[in-house]
Amino acid sequence: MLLAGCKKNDRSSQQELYELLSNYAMTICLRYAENQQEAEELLQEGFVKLFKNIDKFDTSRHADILSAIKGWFKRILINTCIDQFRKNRHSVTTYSISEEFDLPAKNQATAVDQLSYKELIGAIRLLSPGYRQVFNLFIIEGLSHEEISKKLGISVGTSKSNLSKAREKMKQYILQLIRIKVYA
Amino acid sequence: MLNLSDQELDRLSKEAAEKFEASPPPLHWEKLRQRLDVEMPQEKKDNKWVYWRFGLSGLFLLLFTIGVIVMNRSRNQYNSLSSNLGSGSLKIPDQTGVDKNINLKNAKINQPGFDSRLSEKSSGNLPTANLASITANKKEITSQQSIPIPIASKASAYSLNEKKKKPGSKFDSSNDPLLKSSPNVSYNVLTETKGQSGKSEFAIKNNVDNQLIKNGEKIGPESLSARTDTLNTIAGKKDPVESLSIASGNVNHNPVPLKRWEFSLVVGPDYSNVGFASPGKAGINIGIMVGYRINERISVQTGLLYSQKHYTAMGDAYKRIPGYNTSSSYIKMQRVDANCYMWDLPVNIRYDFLLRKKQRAFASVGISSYFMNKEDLHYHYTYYNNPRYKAWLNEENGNYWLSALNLSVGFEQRISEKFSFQAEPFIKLPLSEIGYGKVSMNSLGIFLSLKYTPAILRFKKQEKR
Repeated sequence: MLLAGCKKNDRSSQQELYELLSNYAMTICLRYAENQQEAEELLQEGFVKLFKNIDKFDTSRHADILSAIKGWFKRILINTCIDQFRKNRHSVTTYSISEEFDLPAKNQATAVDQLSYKELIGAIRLLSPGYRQVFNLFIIEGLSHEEISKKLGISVGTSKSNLSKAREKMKQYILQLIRIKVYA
Repeated sequence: MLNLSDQELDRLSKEAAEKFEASPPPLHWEKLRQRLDVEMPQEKKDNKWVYWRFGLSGLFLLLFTIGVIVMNRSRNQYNSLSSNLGSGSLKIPDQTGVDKNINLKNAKINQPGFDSRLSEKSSGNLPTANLASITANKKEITSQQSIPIPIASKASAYSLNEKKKKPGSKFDSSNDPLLKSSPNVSYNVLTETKGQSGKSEFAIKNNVDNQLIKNGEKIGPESLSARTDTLNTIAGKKDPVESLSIASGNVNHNPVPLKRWEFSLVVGPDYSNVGFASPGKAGINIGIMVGYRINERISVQTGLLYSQKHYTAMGDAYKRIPGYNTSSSYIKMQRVDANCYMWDLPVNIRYDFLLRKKQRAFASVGISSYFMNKEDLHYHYTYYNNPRYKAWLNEENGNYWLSALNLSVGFEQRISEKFSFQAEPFIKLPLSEIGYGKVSMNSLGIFLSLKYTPAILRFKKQEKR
């Protein structure tokens, strides 16, 4: 019913689908976006694409329509985020970390467990755009370096290199977060 | 340095991505909707129903108004006939609403069908032929009967009195052979009171004379009927009511004030609620109203009121939160406090059921259309059983045609010739859902009005007894 209404361009059906998927979609956009404003723009763009192409979504092929449309919408959103990234083509820069916080944690395992999901997502968002795209696509979306290289228009080697550097940066950010918590 | 393996980092990152949940800002859907309206415009199918409702309501009001006017005219005519028959003068309003009198004083009509014929007249259907037939039913015209003669012009009025020569008579029946041959009847056409030229009078006289002389025989009912028709033709009157219109006395053309229009400044408190739950804080209605009085008791009112309505919607009464699916099990609406700023366009019909010299009591019914300016919304809800609060100012305009039924009673007190004070408690019941939250909102309150009733000068014929 809901999708049928969306296919008829019914605004209230579109709003219902929006309300059903908006949190899920916003979470994805925040991981890829440079900032909150860009995340909102990506979210809007993603929904416009979803509603414009909803006819292409075949409900008869899926038993769990909600999961199916979430997966389909996720691909739309990631492609939207990548398009945005390629449009801006940010340079791959490193994030400098002040050495004064580069101290070992006393109890690392416990400290890592204390990190919230929000802090971890915040750490991903601190990565530079080039590292962040590769980290998201490889670690969270599960794409291969070949697929990433095609999507981002970079070489496989650059993809692997960016992933390695992204992991190192993530570890540094997490260490910073732990130290802040310890010394707070 | 942190000893965190790549595998552990990947696991933590994936887990965070799956379980972290963010929500878009409150106005995000509205922005998206605006963009969709541009890029994916909707067909305006809903407007059809709006236009239909508007059209049907307008038609209903129009028919009702026409019906009231027609019924009122008929009733007035009937009342005039009934009341004046006894006093000897028949008062019939003409097309301009001005009364003309038929003098029935001293008339002795013994025909059994006369009253029923007058009843026919009272419904506006008695043509000249009916009166002629009254005459025809009488084998001879008695000396006591007054015969109506058509008037020669709008302002003219003549009286036909038995054997009474008045000064200034222009039409002396004593020289009329026909009238002489019918000794019981004399025609005495009085002069017009004002403004009538002698030319028209002369023309009438000549024509009547010619008719009478030409016939050269005793006047009978048929010839009288023919005379009436002839005079109708002369006078150019086709309206049977006009043909019957004869004034018994002098007529003055003085300007008489008619109070048809009413203008009111309105202000008053407004207590709105949803589902008759406890009302929010007091709002206000302020604006102007214009009324048109159809008759002594019925008037049509409209105007424009600016309304601030404050209400609290509990639980499911409020249907939408921006950015959330309110049908989800994890969101439970507790309460919405809303401040609405809107225009109210009412169209009401008022009936005055109590008429006194300086007081009136009335009841009113009608329909209001709301035009939303902005809504200041405060949501109180739970998200996974955690209390949340969200405030949002919706500045999108919304038009809600014919969305409330207006019912009111009131009391009007005259405070001067043209001004009166009015207190009118009201209730507005929802006919459709309004606002962003699609609420069915009731409103209670009182309209306090200062009414100005200007006197519009119209020339009205006044009788002089």
